[in-house]
Amino acid sequence: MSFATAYIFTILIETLVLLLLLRNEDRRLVMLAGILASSITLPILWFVLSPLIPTQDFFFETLFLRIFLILFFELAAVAAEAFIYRNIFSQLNWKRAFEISLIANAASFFIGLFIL
Amino acid sequence: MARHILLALFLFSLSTLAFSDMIEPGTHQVSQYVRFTNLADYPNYAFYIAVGTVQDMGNPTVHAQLSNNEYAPLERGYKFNSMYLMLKGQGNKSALALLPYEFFTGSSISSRYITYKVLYDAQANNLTLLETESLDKNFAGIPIDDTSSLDIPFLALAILFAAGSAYLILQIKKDKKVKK
Repeated sequence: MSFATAYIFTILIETLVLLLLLRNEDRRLVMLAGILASSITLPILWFVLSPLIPTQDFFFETLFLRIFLILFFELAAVAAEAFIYRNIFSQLNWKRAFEISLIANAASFFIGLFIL
Repeated sequence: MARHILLALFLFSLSTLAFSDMIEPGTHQVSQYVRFTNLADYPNYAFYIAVGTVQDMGNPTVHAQLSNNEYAPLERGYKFNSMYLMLKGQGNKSALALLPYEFFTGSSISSRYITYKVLYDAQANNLTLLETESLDKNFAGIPIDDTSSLDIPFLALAILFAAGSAYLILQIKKDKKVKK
């Protein structure tokens, strides 16, 4: 999968999830929040953090390390996006911001795994 | 409402008269290219791309003469056509080799470049093809397998989108504050 494909899919999926979960908020803000969050976190995940994950050449030897790093980096992305949502939507508390971020990221991660 | 449904059903029934997938051979162009690397090994022969359609019943017509190691566009390639490599040479004897069928079902928005090596047995008059390379390019001419080539433009786009959306968010929030 290329960064271009991942970027397009992440924006589409996460923005759609945000639109579903934040129905009472201004739609323009919700869409812009989706674009902003994905545009900040995905390049960092893709170009900075992903190269730190061991390659699949030694798949079984590094399986646990790979899983740990993927989860750790995904959680970092969730935290960063929750911070963005919390700051854009003043009515959101931290717990709800984390929930929304977690659902959006999980959706893009798992849908990405299945369709790409 | 009932009248609209009847009209829709009538129009839908008309669609059965249309041969939706039966495009006239040669009218739907798919962007595919083929080259043969070793035509120079057979100096006494000339090679052509030939097209056979359903109507031709396996009687292909010569389309274009081929040069050695140069990509030739298959402008008439479509799934209802059969494409042949035709060889004509000494004693006006000809031989045919059918290009693989799957080759002609490629996407209309990407281009496929296939390289073959030709093997001709003059005694048996047997012409065969060996596929040595296959390359798909997207609409921008970038090889599709080479996914990294789009990374930098999309990274720039991501930075631009991040900055643009942040600016617009601030503007919207500012407007809301002013309205309050």
